[in-house]
Amino acid sequence: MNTRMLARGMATLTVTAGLGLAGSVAVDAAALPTPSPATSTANPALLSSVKSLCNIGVQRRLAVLAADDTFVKTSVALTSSDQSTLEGQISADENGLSALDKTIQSDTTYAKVFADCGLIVTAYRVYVMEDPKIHEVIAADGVSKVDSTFETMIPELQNVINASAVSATDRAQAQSDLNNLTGKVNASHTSISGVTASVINLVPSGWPGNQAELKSARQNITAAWTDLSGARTDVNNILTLLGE
Amino acid sequence: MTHLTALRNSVLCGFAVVAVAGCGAAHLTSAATPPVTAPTGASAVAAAPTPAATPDTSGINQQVSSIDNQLGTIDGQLNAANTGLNTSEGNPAQ
Repeated sequence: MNTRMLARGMATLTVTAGLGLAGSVAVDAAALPTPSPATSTANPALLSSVKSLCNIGVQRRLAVLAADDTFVKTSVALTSSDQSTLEGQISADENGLSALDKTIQSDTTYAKVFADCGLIVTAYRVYVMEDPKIHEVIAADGVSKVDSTFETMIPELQNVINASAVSATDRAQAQSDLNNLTGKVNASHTSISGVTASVINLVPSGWPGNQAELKSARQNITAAWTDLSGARTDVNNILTLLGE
Repeated sequence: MTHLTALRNSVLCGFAVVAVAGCGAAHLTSAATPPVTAPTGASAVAAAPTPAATPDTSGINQQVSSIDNQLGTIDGQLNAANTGLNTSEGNPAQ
């Protein structure tokens, strides 16, 4: 009876996993061999098929992590500390997933394959946690970098306004725009404060609770981005008013 | 006598003014600023206020370009994060 249930579960997993491939790999569940209930040993062909699906899952996650690693290595916004932390996390995930894949490929029972294959999701959460976390840290550090650039630019814009020979009306409008710009940069600075620290060390074992942190971070980064885009528009307005 | 002393002091004072102005002109010549003409004669003439210089916004334009690039990057990273946050991950093979 247990063997029959295991066989049914195996077929279900195979179909589910096949659907998860989203058409990129054709899996004909009906064509897969069914484990014989009369034997306690795993059907080698079916076991191999499941292992193959697990391997595909690992390879896809490794591809996502490799792309993330490129973002991290080439980012001009990440602080060196955050860059180092993220590279360490990515490297650990890559090594861990590769080792897990080797373990799966050497498993000899269905139960062990099921358990180990499940770890691809639960021990790493690459799609739903690691990947968005990395993107959020890059974005958050980017906001801080833009804040810093604006903070350098604001006194320079003030000097340009002061030295400009435009009409008093235009100068007053430019000053108003600069004040507005300054307020937006300050708001952005407030929004982004603590965002990186709130997500960079999230771990898969905290899922799904830590999803709230990721969503909160996204909200704060979006708010900061909106403020900075508005500040950017103010710069345009100022330079236009001053005839630059 | 008093008159002669006053005259002498006035002349000496004029030399001093010329010397100070001359030193200033020599110093400024080495910089990129317009040369300052030392006043001639015994009395120094107050420099006329220079017209406001045209503001140099090249630095600001470079900063704006950097900000534009960064805002584009942040937007892209936010979109990428959104994809993950709107995904479910329950299937090992996905």
